[in-house]
Amino acid sequence: MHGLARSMLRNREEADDIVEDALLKIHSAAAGFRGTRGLRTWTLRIVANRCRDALRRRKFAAPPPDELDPLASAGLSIDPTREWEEGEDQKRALIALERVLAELPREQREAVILVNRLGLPLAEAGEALGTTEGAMKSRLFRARETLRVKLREALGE
Amino acid sequence: MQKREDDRLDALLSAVRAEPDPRVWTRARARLAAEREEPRWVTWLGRPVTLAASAAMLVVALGGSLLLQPAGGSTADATTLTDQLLAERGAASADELGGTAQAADAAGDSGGLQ
Repeated sequence: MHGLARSMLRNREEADDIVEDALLKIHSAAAGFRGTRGLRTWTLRIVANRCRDALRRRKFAAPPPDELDPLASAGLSIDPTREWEEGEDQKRALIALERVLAELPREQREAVILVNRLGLPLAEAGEALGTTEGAMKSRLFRARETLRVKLREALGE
Repeated sequence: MQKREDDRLDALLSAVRAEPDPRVWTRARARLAAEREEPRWVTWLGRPVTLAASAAMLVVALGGSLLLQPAGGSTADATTLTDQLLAERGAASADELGGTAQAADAAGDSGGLQ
């Protein structure tokens, strides 16, 4: 829940407020949960819907500043167990990726976050976002094309 | 080349994680406990829609009362009327006081106590 909200909103406080609201919603709607989708899908769907509402409201507000470290302001951290290619400037690459990710259309960004960052299977991610597996594949394909090109540009390769 | 880029993209995307903040759970638990204690109608009254409707009704009522007041000179009329009422009341009181005083005097002078 935190991973999705923070990656989508890029603002730790706002994302945590969304998660808090989502927890209350989950609690109040728990009686209506029938288990047809699975708990994780259901909770992620609630968070995704709230993030969409927040992003819609944000259209009328000033855009977030182009901060120096988008990972820190989003409340995201680098997995310490991750192994990196030798010579890879991981921090620089991750910051560049975060900026490029933020420029993607919302639907593509949601798909990348759920599948590539949180590791959800395509079908489950599709259910969480209220779409089909086919639509998810298409969104991911387009998103990854853009990410590859823009990341290369951002890293000056 | 593309395979290498894909692998790097996957590695970068999955290398980031969000540590859950325990304060979020604490706040959520506190809000749930507060909701349990608070009657539903209090919650309903506290909704933004209800508050906005109340504020709108207040504005309409104030506007209506301003419109219903007679235009121009109302303050002066009210002052005059008040003054008149006070003057009348003062005169009446003076009459009453005078009458009472006279009666008291009359009683004193009548020699009734003697």
